[in-house]
Amino acid sequence: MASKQDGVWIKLQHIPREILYFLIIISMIVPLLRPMGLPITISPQTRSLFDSLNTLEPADVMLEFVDWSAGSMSFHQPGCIAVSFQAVKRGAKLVFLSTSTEGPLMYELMLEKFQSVFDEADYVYGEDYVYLGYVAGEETARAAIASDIRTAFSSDYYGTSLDEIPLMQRVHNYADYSMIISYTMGSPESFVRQFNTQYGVITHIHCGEMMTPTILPFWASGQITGLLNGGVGAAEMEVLVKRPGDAVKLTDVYSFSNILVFVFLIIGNIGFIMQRRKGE
Amino acid sequence: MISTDPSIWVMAFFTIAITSLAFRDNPLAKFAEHTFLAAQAGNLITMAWRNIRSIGLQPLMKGSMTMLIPLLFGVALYTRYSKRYIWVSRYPTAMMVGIGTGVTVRAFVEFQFIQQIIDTFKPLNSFNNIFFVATVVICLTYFIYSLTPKSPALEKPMSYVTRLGRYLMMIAFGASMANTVITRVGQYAGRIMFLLYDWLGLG
Repeated sequence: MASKQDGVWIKLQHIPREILYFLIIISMIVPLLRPMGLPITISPQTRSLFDSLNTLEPADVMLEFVDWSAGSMSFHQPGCIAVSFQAVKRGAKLVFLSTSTEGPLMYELMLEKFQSVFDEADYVYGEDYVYLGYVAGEETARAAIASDIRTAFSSDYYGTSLDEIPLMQRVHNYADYSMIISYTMGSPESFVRQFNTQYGVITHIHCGEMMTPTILPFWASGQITGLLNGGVGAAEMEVLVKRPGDAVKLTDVYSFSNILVFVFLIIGNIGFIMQRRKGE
Repeated sequence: MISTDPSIWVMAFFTIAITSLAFRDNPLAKFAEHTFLAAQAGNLITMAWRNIRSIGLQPLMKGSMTMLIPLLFGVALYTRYSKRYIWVSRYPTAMMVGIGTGVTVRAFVEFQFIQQIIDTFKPLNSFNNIFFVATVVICLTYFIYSLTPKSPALEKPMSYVTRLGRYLMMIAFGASMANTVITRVGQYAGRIMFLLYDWLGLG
Protein backbone atom coordinates (compact mmCIF):
# COMPACT_ATOMS: atom_id res chain seq x y z
CA MET A 1 0.00 0.00 0.00
CA ALA A 2 1.37 3.40 -0.99
CA SER A 3 1.56 6.10 1.68
CA LYS A 4 0.65 9.80 1.31
CA GLN A 5 4.30 10.78 1.05
CA ASP A 6 4.95 8.46 -1.91
CA GLY A 7 5.34 9.88 -5.37
CA VAL A 8 2.82 9.42 -8.16
CA TRP A 9 4.90 6.62 -9.77
CA ILE A 10 4.85 4.54 -6.60
CA LYS A 11 1.12 5.17 -6.19
CA LEU A 12 0.54 3.91 -9.74
CA GLN A 13 2.13 0.60 -8.75
CA HIS A 14 -0.01 0.29 -5.65
CA ILE A 15 -3.56 1.05 -6.75
CA PRO A 16 -5.82 -0.18 -3.91
CA ARG A 17 -7.21 -3.62 -4.67
CA GLU A 18 -10.73 -2.45 -3.77
CA ILE A 19 -10.62 -0.08 -6.77
CA LEU A 20 -9.25 -2.81 -9.06
CA TYR A 21 -11.90 -5.33 -8.00
CA PHE A 22 -14.67 -2.76 -8.30
CA LEU A 23 -13.64 -1.80 -11.84
CA ILE A 24 -13.27 -5.45 -12.90
CA ILE A 25 -16.77 -6.22 -11.60
CA ILE A 26 -18.14 -3.22 -13.51
CA SER A 27 -16.28 -4.41 -16.64
CA MET A 28 -18.12 -7.72 -16.27
CA ILE A 29 -21.57 -6.26 -15.62
CA VAL A 30 -21.62 -3.82 -18.56
CA PRO A 31 -21.14 -6.38 -21.38
CA LEU A 32 -23.60 -8.76 -19.72
CA LEU A 33 -26.31 -6.09 -19.66
CA ARG A 34 -25.39 -4.66 -23.07
CA PRO A 35 -23.95 -7.57 -25.09
CA MET A 36 -21.94 -6.47 -28.11
CA GLY A 37 -21.73 -9.86 -29.80
CA LEU A 38 -18.09 -9.57 -30.79
CA PRO A 39 -17.15 -12.13 -33.48
CA ILE A 40 -15.89 -15.50 -32.26
CA THR A 41 -13.13 -17.22 -34.23
CA ILE A 42 -13.17 -21.01 -34.15
CA SER A 43 -9.86 -22.51 -33.03
CA PRO A 44 -8.52 -25.69 -34.70
CA GLN A 45 -8.75 -27.52 -31.35
CA THR A 46 -12.49 -26.87 -31.07
CA ARG A 47 -13.00 -27.60 -34.76
CA SER A 48 -11.38 -31.02 -34.41
CA LEU A 49 -13.68 -31.84 -31.46
CA PHE A 50 -16.71 -30.81 -33.51
CA ASP A 51 -15.52 -32.87 -36.51
CA SER A 52 -14.94 -35.85 -34.24
CA LEU A 53 -18.46 -35.55 -32.77
CA ASN A 54 -19.83 -35.56 -36.30
CA THR A 55 -18.42 -39.05 -36.85
CA LEU A 56 -20.68 -40.45 -34.10
CA GLU A 57 -23.28 -42.99 -35.18
CA PRO A 58 -26.47 -44.01 -33.30
CA ALA A 59 -24.77 -47.22 -32.07
CA ASP A 60 -21.83 -45.31 -30.60
CA VAL A 61 -21.34 -44.72 -26.90
CA MET A 62 -19.62 -41.60 -25.58
CA LEU A 63 -18.39 -41.36 -21.99
CA GLU A 64 -18.75 -37.89 -20.47
CA PHE A 65 -16.81 -37.26 -17.26
CA VAL A 66 -18.73 -34.59 -15.33
CA ASP A 67 -15.76 -33.59 -13.17
CA TRP A 68 -16.16 -29.86 -12.86
CA SER A 69 -16.98 -28.05 -9.63
CA ALA A 70 -19.15 -25.05 -8.79
CA GLY A 71 -16.19 -22.74 -9.48
CA SER A 72 -15.92 -23.60 -13.16
CA MET A 73 -19.62 -24.21 -13.78
CA SER A 74 -19.82 -20.97 -15.80
CA PHE A 75 -17.92 -22.49 -18.71
CA HIS A 76 -17.92 -26.25 -18.13
CA GLN A 77 -21.69 -26.49 -18.05
CA PRO A 78 -22.24 -24.66 -21.38
CA GLY A 79 -19.40 -26.71 -22.90
CA CYS A 80 -20.97 -29.97 -21.77
CA ILE A 81 -24.39 -28.86 -23.01
CA ALA A 82 -23.04 -27.94 -26.46
CA VAL A 83 -21.05 -31.17 -26.83
CA SER A 84 -23.93 -33.33 -25.59
CA PHE A 85 -26.33 -31.50 -27.91
CA GLN A 86 -24.22 -32.41 -30.94
CA ALA A 87 -23.87 -36.02 -29.73
CA VAL A 88 -27.66 -36.28 -29.26
CA LYS A 89 -28.14 -34.77 -32.71
CA ARG A 90 -26.00 -37.60 -34.08
CA GLY A 91 -28.09 -40.11 -32.11
CA ALA A 92 -25.16 -41.37 -30.01
CA LYS A 93 -25.66 -42.92 -26.59
CA LEU A 94 -24.29 -40.98 -23.61
CA VAL A 95 -22.84 -42.37 -20.39
CA PHE A 96 -22.28 -39.61 -17.82
CA LEU A 97 -20.09 -40.31 -14.81
CA SER A 98 -17.95 -38.45 -12.28
CA THR A 99 -14.58 -38.93 -10.65
CA SER A 100 -14.86 -35.76 -8.56
CA THR A 101 -17.10 -35.41 -5.52
CA GLU A 102 -19.01 -32.37 -6.79
CA GLY A 103 -19.79 -34.18 -10.05
CA PRO A 104 -23.25 -35.49 -9.08
CA LEU A 105 -24.41 -32.00 -8.03
CA MET A 106 -23.05 -30.49 -11.23
CA TYR A 107 -24.70 -33.20 -13.34
CA GLU A 108 -28.11 -32.48 -11.79
CA LEU A 109 -27.74 -28.74 -12.40
CA MET A 110 -26.67 -29.42 -15.99
CA LEU A 111 -29.59 -31.80 -16.52
CA GLU A 112 -32.07 -29.09 -15.48
CA LYS A 113 -30.99 -27.17 -18.58
CA PHE A 114 -30.48 -30.17 -20.85
CA GLN A 115 -33.52 -32.35 -20.09
CA SER A 116 -35.55 -30.56 -22.78
CA VAL A 117 -32.99 -31.65 -25.42
CA PHE A 118 -33.31 -35.28 -24.31
CA ASP A 119 -37.11 -34.96 -24.39
CA GLU A 120 -37.16 -33.41 -27.86
CA ALA A 121 -34.89 -36.17 -29.18
CA ASP A 122 -37.05 -38.85 -27.47
CA TYR A 123 -34.05 -39.97 -25.44
CA VAL A 124 -35.03 -42.39 -22.71
CA TYR A 125 -33.03 -42.74 -19.48
CA GLY A 126 -31.34 -46.11 -19.33
CA GLU A 127 -31.69 -46.74 -23.06
CA ASP A 128 -30.07 -43.67 -24.60
CA TYR A 129 -28.32 -42.03 -21.68
CA VAL A 130 -27.38 -42.88 -18.15
CA TYR A 131 -25.67 -41.29 -15.15
CA LEU A 132 -23.46 -43.57 -13.08
CA GLY A 133 -22.60 -41.13 -10.29
CA TYR A 134 -19.29 -40.66 -8.52
CA VAL A 135 -16.47 -43.10 -8.02
CA ALA A 136 -13.47 -42.38 -5.78
CA GLY A 137 -9.86 -43.04 -6.72
CA GLU A 138 -9.15 -40.47 -9.46
CA GLU A 139 -6.58 -41.99 -11.84
CA THR A 140 -7.02 -45.51 -10.41
CA ALA A 141 -10.78 -45.18 -10.90
CA ARG A 142 -10.27 -43.93 -14.47
CA ALA A 143 -8.03 -46.92 -15.17
CA ALA A 144 -10.71 -49.24 -13.78
CA ILE A 145 -13.41 -47.59 -15.92
CA ALA A 146 -11.22 -48.08 -19.00
CA SER A 147 -10.49 -51.75 -18.34
CA ASP A 148 -13.86 -52.83 -16.88
CA ILE A 149 -16.53 -50.31 -15.90
CA ARG A 150 -18.18 -52.84 -13.55
CA THR A 151 -15.17 -52.81 -11.24
CA ALA A 152 -15.88 -49.11 -10.63
CA PHE A 153 -19.69 -49.07 -10.69
CA SER A 154 -22.15 -51.79 -9.75
CA SER A 155 -25.20 -49.54 -10.16
CA ASP A 156 -26.14 -46.18 -11.62
CA TYR A 157 -26.51 -43.00 -9.53
CA TYR A 158 -30.11 -43.87 -8.67
CA GLY A 159 -29.27 -47.37 -7.43
CA THR A 160 -30.33 -49.49 -10.43
CA SER A 161 -27.96 -52.39 -11.09
CA LEU A 162 -25.92 -51.90 -14.28
CA ASP A 163 -27.09 -55.26 -15.59
CA GLU A 164 -30.70 -54.06 -15.41
CA ILE A 165 -29.98 -50.94 -17.48
CA PRO A 166 -30.45 -51.72 -21.21
CA LEU A 167 -27.71 -49.30 -22.36
CA MET A 168 -25.16 -50.66 -19.89
CA GLN A 169 -25.77 -54.27 -20.93
CA ARG A 170 -23.57 -53.64 -23.96
CA VAL A 171 -21.07 -51.32 -22.27
CA HIS A 172 -18.22 -53.10 -20.51
CA ASN A 173 -14.82 -51.64 -21.29
CA TYR A 174 -12.71 -49.45 -23.60
CA ALA A 175 -13.74 -51.49 -26.65
CA ASP A 176 -17.30 -50.22 -26.18
CA TYR A 177 -16.40 -46.53 -25.84
CA SER A 178 -16.36 -44.68 -29.16
CA MET A 179 -14.89 -41.63 -27.48
CA ILE A 180 -14.59 -39.99 -24.10
CA ILE A 181 -14.64 -36.37 -22.99
CA SER A 182 -13.50 -35.02 -19.66
CA TYR A 183 -14.71 -31.71 -18.26
CA THR A 184 -12.26 -30.95 -15.50
CA MET A 185 -10.41 -28.19 -13.70
CA GLY A 186 -7.86 -30.66 -12.40
CA SER A 187 -5.18 -32.50 -14.27
CA PRO A 188 -6.62 -33.95 -17.49
CA GLU A 189 -3.48 -35.93 -18.36
CA SER A 190 -4.69 -39.02 -16.50
CA PHE A 191 -7.65 -39.38 -18.88
CA VAL A 192 -5.29 -39.36 -21.85
CA ARG A 193 -2.95 -41.85 -20.15
CA GLN A 194 -5.65 -44.33 -19.18
CA PHE A 195 -7.88 -44.14 -22.26
CA ASN A 196 -5.78 -43.02 -25.21
CA THR A 197 -2.26 -44.22 -24.40
CA GLN A 198 -3.42 -47.54 -22.93
CA TYR A 199 -6.25 -48.42 -25.31
CA GLY A 200 -6.30 -45.88 -28.15
CA VAL A 201 -9.76 -44.50 -27.25
CA ILE A 202 -10.48 -41.12 -28.86
CA THR A 203 -10.06 -38.61 -26.03
CA HIS A 204 -11.38 -35.06 -25.80
CA ILE A 205 -10.67 -32.58 -23.02
CA HIS A 206 -12.51 -29.49 -21.82
CA CYS A 207 -10.25 -27.86 -19.25
CA GLY A 208 -9.86 -24.40 -17.75
CA GLU A 209 -7.76 -21.92 -19.75
CA MET A 210 -5.01 -22.16 -17.12
CA MET A 211 -4.48 -25.85 -17.99
CA THR A 212 -4.47 -25.32 -21.76
CA PRO A 213 -0.74 -24.48 -22.16
CA THR A 214 0.06 -27.73 -20.31
CA ILE A 215 -2.31 -29.89 -22.31
CA LEU A 216 -1.89 -28.30 -25.75
CA PRO A 217 1.23 -30.35 -26.70
CA PHE A 218 -0.88 -33.51 -26.34
CA TRP A 219 -3.37 -32.13 -28.86
CA ALA A 220 -0.53 -31.24 -31.23
CA SER A 221 0.83 -34.78 -30.98
CA GLY A 222 -2.62 -36.28 -31.65
CA GLN A 223 -2.95 -37.88 -28.22
CA ILE A 224 -5.98 -35.63 -27.63
CA THR A 225 -8.38 -35.30 -30.56
CA GLY A 226 -10.45 -32.32 -29.42
CA LEU A 227 -9.66 -29.64 -26.88
CA LEU A 228 -12.03 -27.01 -25.53
CA ASN A 229 -10.17 -24.09 -24.03
CA GLY A 230 -12.28 -23.03 -21.02
CA GLY A 231 -15.01 -20.47 -21.65
CA VAL A 232 -13.65 -19.46 -25.04
CA GLY A 233 -13.72 -23.10 -26.20
CA ALA A 234 -17.25 -23.54 -24.85
CA ALA A 235 -18.37 -20.41 -26.74
CA GLU A 236 -16.78 -21.69 -29.95
CA MET A 237 -18.63 -24.99 -29.53
CA GLU A 238 -21.91 -23.15 -28.96
CA VAL A 239 -21.34 -21.27 -32.20
CA LEU A 240 -20.51 -24.48 -34.09
CA VAL A 241 -23.63 -26.29 -32.87
CA LYS A 242 -25.67 -23.11 -33.63
CA ARG A 243 -26.93 -22.85 -30.05
CA PRO A 244 -25.44 -19.64 -28.61
CA GLY A 245 -25.88 -19.62 -24.85
CA ASP A 246 -24.11 -18.67 -21.63
CA ALA A 247 -20.59 -19.21 -22.98
CA VAL A 248 -21.12 -16.83 -25.90
CA LYS A 249 -22.28 -14.18 -23.41
CA LEU A 250 -19.02 -14.76 -21.50
CA THR A 251 -16.79 -13.84 -24.43
CA ASP A 252 -17.73 -10.13 -24.26
CA VAL A 253 -16.91 -10.23 -20.54
CA TYR A 254 -13.52 -11.76 -21.33
CA SER A 255 -12.75 -9.02 -23.85
CA PHE A 256 -13.83 -6.16 -21.56
CA SER A 257 -12.17 -7.36 -18.37
CA ASN A 258 -8.97 -8.45 -20.12
CA ILE A 259 -8.60 -4.98 -21.65
CA LEU A 260 -8.97 -3.54 -18.15
CA VAL A 261 -6.33 -5.92 -16.71
CA PHE A 262 -4.08 -5.00 -19.65
CA VAL A 263 -4.52 -1.27 -18.96
CA PHE A 264 -3.63 -1.72 -15.29
CA LEU A 265 -0.59 -3.80 -16.24
CA ILE A 266 0.62 -0.94 -18.43
CA ILE A 267 -0.09 1.65 -15.72
CA GLY A 268 1.79 -0.42 -13.12
CA ASN A 269 4.76 -0.90 -15.44
CA ILE A 270 4.87 2.78 -16.36
CA GLY A 271 5.00 3.55 -12.64
CA PHE A 272 7.79 0.99 -12.14
CA ILE A 273 9.92 2.26 -15.05
CA MET A 274 9.47 5.94 -14.16
CA GLN A 275 10.26 5.29 -10.49
CA ARG A 276 13.49 3.52 -11.47
CA ARG A 277 14.47 6.33 -13.84
CA LYS A 278 13.89 9.00 -11.19
CA GLY A 279 15.64 6.86 -8.56
CA GLU A 280 12.74 7.14 -6.13
CA MET B 1 -38.13 -9.55 -12.45
CA ILE B 2 -36.34 -10.34 -9.21
CA SER B 3 -36.48 -14.02 -8.25
CA THR B 4 -38.92 -15.24 -5.62
CA ASP B 5 -37.18 -18.62 -5.29
CA PRO B 6 -35.64 -18.86 -1.77
CA SER B 7 -32.80 -21.11 -3.02
CA ILE B 8 -31.78 -18.42 -5.53
CA TRP B 9 -31.71 -15.88 -2.68
CA VAL B 10 -29.52 -18.18 -0.61
CA MET B 11 -27.10 -18.57 -3.55
CA ALA B 12 -27.11 -14.81 -4.16
CA PHE B 13 -26.40 -14.13 -0.47
CA PHE B 14 -23.39 -16.46 -0.41
CA THR B 15 -22.08 -15.12 -3.72
CA ILE B 16 -22.16 -11.55 -2.41
CA ALA B 17 -20.78 -12.60 0.99
CA ILE B 18 -17.77 -14.33 -0.58
CA THR B 19 -17.24 -11.46 -3.03
CA SER B 20 -17.04 -9.03 -0.13
CA LEU B 21 -13.78 -10.75 0.90
CA ALA B 22 -12.11 -9.17 -2.12
CA PHE B 23 -12.74 -5.75 -0.61
CA ARG B 24 -12.14 -6.43 3.09
CA ASP B 25 -12.15 -9.33 5.52
CA ASN B 26 -15.50 -9.36 7.30
CA PRO B 27 -17.77 -11.67 9.36
CA LEU B 28 -20.14 -12.31 6.42
CA ALA B 29 -17.30 -13.59 4.24
CA LYS B 30 -16.03 -15.76 7.10
CA PHE B 31 -19.52 -17.16 7.62
CA ALA B 32 -19.80 -17.99 3.92
CA GLU B 33 -16.35 -19.58 3.92
CA HIS B 34 -17.11 -21.83 6.88
CA THR B 35 -20.52 -22.77 5.50
CA PHE B 36 -18.91 -23.73 2.20
CA LEU B 37 -16.29 -25.86 3.94
CA ALA B 38 -18.94 -27.59 6.05
CA ALA B 39 -21.12 -28.25 3.00
CA GLN B 40 -18.12 -29.63 1.10
CA ALA B 41 -17.20 -31.92 3.99
CA GLY B 42 -20.80 -33.14 4.21
CA ASN B 43 -20.91 -33.79 0.48
CA LEU B 44 -17.59 -35.63 0.64
CA ILE B 45 -18.80 -37.93 3.43
CA THR B 46 -22.06 -38.64 1.56
CA MET B 47 -20.22 -39.45 -1.66
CA ALA B 48 -17.69 -41.64 0.16
CA TRP B 49 -20.45 -43.58 1.90
CA ARG B 50 -22.32 -44.09 -1.40
CA ASN B 51 -19.08 -45.46 -2.87
CA ILE B 52 -18.49 -47.87 0.01
CA ARG B 53 -22.09 -49.03 -0.21
CA SER B 54 -22.30 -49.49 -3.99
CA ILE B 55 -18.80 -50.83 -4.71
CA GLY B 56 -18.11 -52.69 -1.45
CA LEU B 57 -21.13 -53.56 0.67
CA GLN B 58 -23.74 -54.34 -2.00
CA PRO B 59 -21.52 -56.84 -3.90
CA LEU B 60 -20.54 -58.36 -0.54
CA MET B 61 -24.22 -58.85 0.37
CA LYS B 62 -24.71 -60.56 -2.99
CA GLY B 63 -22.01 -63.09 -2.09
CA SER B 64 -18.87 -61.52 -3.56
CA MET B 65 -16.62 -62.44 -0.63
CA THR B 66 -13.49 -60.98 -2.29
CA MET B 67 -14.88 -57.55 -1.40
CA LEU B 68 -13.96 -58.32 2.21
CA ILE B 69 -10.29 -57.72 1.36
CA PRO B 70 -10.56 -54.05 0.27
CA LEU B 71 -13.12 -53.38 3.01
CA LEU B 72 -10.76 -54.74 5.67
CA PHE B 73 -7.90 -52.72 4.20
CA GLY B 74 -10.16 -49.67 4.38
CA VAL B 75 -10.98 -50.28 8.04
CA ALA B 76 -7.27 -50.89 8.75
CA LEU B 77 -6.54 -47.30 7.67
CA TYR B 78 -8.26 -46.09 10.85
CA THR B 79 -5.67 -47.79 13.06
CA ARG B 80 -3.49 -44.72 12.50
CA TYR B 81 -5.42 -43.14 15.36
CA SER B 82 -3.98 -45.76 17.75
CA LYS B 83 -0.33 -45.45 18.78
CA ARG B 84 -0.18 -49.19 19.42
CA TYR B 85 -1.64 -50.38 16.12
CA ILE B 86 -0.54 -47.62 13.78
CA TRP B 87 1.74 -50.11 11.98
CA VAL B 88 -1.37 -51.88 10.63
CA SER B 89 -2.37 -48.75 8.66
CA ARG B 90 0.94 -48.83 6.80
CA TYR B 91 -0.13 -51.90 4.81
CA PRO B 92 -3.21 -50.37 3.15
CA THR B 93 -1.27 -47.11 2.67
CA ALA B 94 1.57 -49.01 0.98
CA MET B 95 -0.95 -50.84 -1.20
CA MET B 96 -2.63 -47.58 -2.29
CA VAL B 97 0.70 -45.91 -3.08
CA GLY B 98 1.88 -49.01 -4.97
CA ILE B 99 -1.27 -49.39 -7.06
CA GLY B 100 -1.53 -45.65 -7.71
CA THR B 101 2.08 -45.43 -8.87
CA GLY B 102 1.80 -48.58 -10.98
CA VAL B 103 -1.36 -47.39 -12.73
CA THR B 104 0.23 -44.04 -13.56
CA VAL B 105 3.67 -45.29 -14.54
CA ARG B 106 2.50 -48.03 -16.92
CA ALA B 107 1.38 -45.38 -19.45
CA PHE B 108 3.59 -42.52 -18.34
CA VAL B 109 6.67 -43.23 -20.48
CA GLU B 110 4.69 -43.69 -23.68
CA PHE B 111 2.37 -40.76 -22.92
CA GLN B 112 4.77 -38.12 -21.69
CA PHE B 113 8.09 -39.03 -23.29
CA ILE B 114 7.93 -41.20 -26.40
CA GLN B 115 4.88 -39.57 -28.02
CA GLN B 116 6.04 -36.07 -27.16
CA ILE B 117 9.59 -36.65 -28.41
CA ILE B 118 8.26 -38.17 -31.65
CA ASP B 119 6.08 -35.09 -32.12
CA THR B 120 9.09 -32.82 -31.69
CA PHE B 121 10.65 -34.25 -34.87
CA LYS B 122 8.74 -32.08 -37.27
CA PRO B 123 9.58 -31.49 -40.95
CA LEU B 124 11.25 -28.09 -41.18
CA ASN B 125 9.01 -26.92 -44.01
CA SER B 126 7.12 -24.09 -42.34
CA PHE B 127 7.90 -21.18 -40.06
CA ASN B 128 5.80 -22.68 -37.27
CA ASN B 129 7.69 -25.99 -37.36
CA ILE B 130 11.11 -24.32 -37.51
CA PHE B 131 10.16 -22.01 -34.63
CA PHE B 132 8.83 -24.96 -32.61
CA VAL B 133 11.95 -27.13 -33.03
CA ALA B 134 14.29 -24.17 -32.44
CA THR B 135 12.40 -23.21 -29.26
CA VAL B 136 12.62 -26.77 -27.91
CA VAL B 137 16.38 -26.93 -28.56
CA ILE B 138 17.09 -23.45 -27.18
CA CYS B 139 15.02 -24.07 -24.02
CA LEU B 140 16.76 -27.40 -23.46
CA THR B 141 20.17 -25.69 -23.54
CA TYR B 142 19.08 -23.67 -20.51
CA PHE B 143 18.90 -26.91 -18.51
CA ILE B 144 22.36 -28.16 -19.44
CA TYR B 145 24.17 -27.44 -16.21
CA SER B 146 27.04 -29.91 -16.21
CA LEU B 147 28.48 -29.26 -19.66
CA THR B 148 30.20 -25.95 -20.27
CA PRO B 149 32.00 -25.06 -23.52
CA LYS B 150 35.74 -25.60 -23.17
CA SER B 151 36.60 -23.13 -25.89
CA PRO B 152 36.37 -19.47 -24.73
CA ALA B 153 35.15 -18.62 -28.23
CA LEU B 154 32.00 -20.70 -27.62
CA GLU B 155 31.37 -19.48 -24.09
CA LYS B 156 29.78 -16.16 -25.01
CA PRO B 157 27.53 -17.43 -27.85
CA MET B 158 26.32 -20.25 -25.59
CA SER B 159 25.46 -17.78 -22.84
CA TYR B 160 23.32 -15.87 -25.39
CA VAL B 161 21.52 -19.10 -26.35
CA THR B 162 20.76 -20.03 -22.73
CA ARG B 163 19.58 -16.48 -22.07
CA LEU B 164 17.31 -16.69 -25.11
CA GLY B 165 16.02 -20.01 -23.75
CA ARG B 166 15.17 -18.27 -20.50
CA TYR B 167 13.32 -15.47 -22.33
CA LEU B 168 11.35 -17.98 -24.39
CA MET B 169 10.32 -19.80 -21.25
CA MET B 170 9.32 -16.50 -19.64
CA ILE B 171 7.05 -15.85 -22.64
CA ALA B 172 5.48 -19.28 -22.02
CA PHE B 173 5.04 -18.51 -18.31
CA GLY B 174 3.46 -15.17 -19.24
CA ALA B 175 1.01 -16.90 -21.57
CA SER B 176 0.24 -19.36 -18.78
CA MET B 177 -0.38 -16.51 -16.33
CA ALA B 178 -2.66 -14.75 -18.84
CA ASN B 179 -4.64 -17.98 -19.19
CA THR B 180 -4.98 -18.13 -15.41
CA VAL B 181 -6.38 -14.57 -15.37
CA ILE B 182 -8.87 -15.51 -18.11
CA THR B 183 -9.93 -18.61 -16.17
CA ARG B 184 -10.58 -16.61 -13.01
CA VAL B 185 -12.50 -13.96 -14.93
CA GLY B 186 -14.62 -16.71 -16.52
CA GLN B 187 -15.29 -18.32 -13.17
CA TYR B 188 -16.39 -15.09 -11.52
CA ALA B 189 -18.33 -13.93 -14.57
CA GLY B 190 -20.52 -16.99 -14.08
CA ARG B 191 -21.52 -15.69 -10.66
CA ILE B 192 -22.17 -12.19 -12.03
CA MET B 193 -24.39 -13.76 -14.70
CA PHE B 194 -26.24 -15.62 -11.97
CA LEU B 195 -26.77 -12.42 -9.94
CA LEU B 196 -27.91 -10.39 -12.96
CA TYR B 197 -30.03 -12.96 -14.78
CA ASP B 198 -31.26 -15.53 -12.25
CA TRP B 199 -31.51 -13.37 -9.14
CA LEU B 200 -32.30 -9.86 -10.39
CA GLY B 201 -33.98 -11.04 -13.59
CA LEU B 202 -32.16 -8.48 -15.74
CA GLY B 203 -31.25 -10.83 -18.58
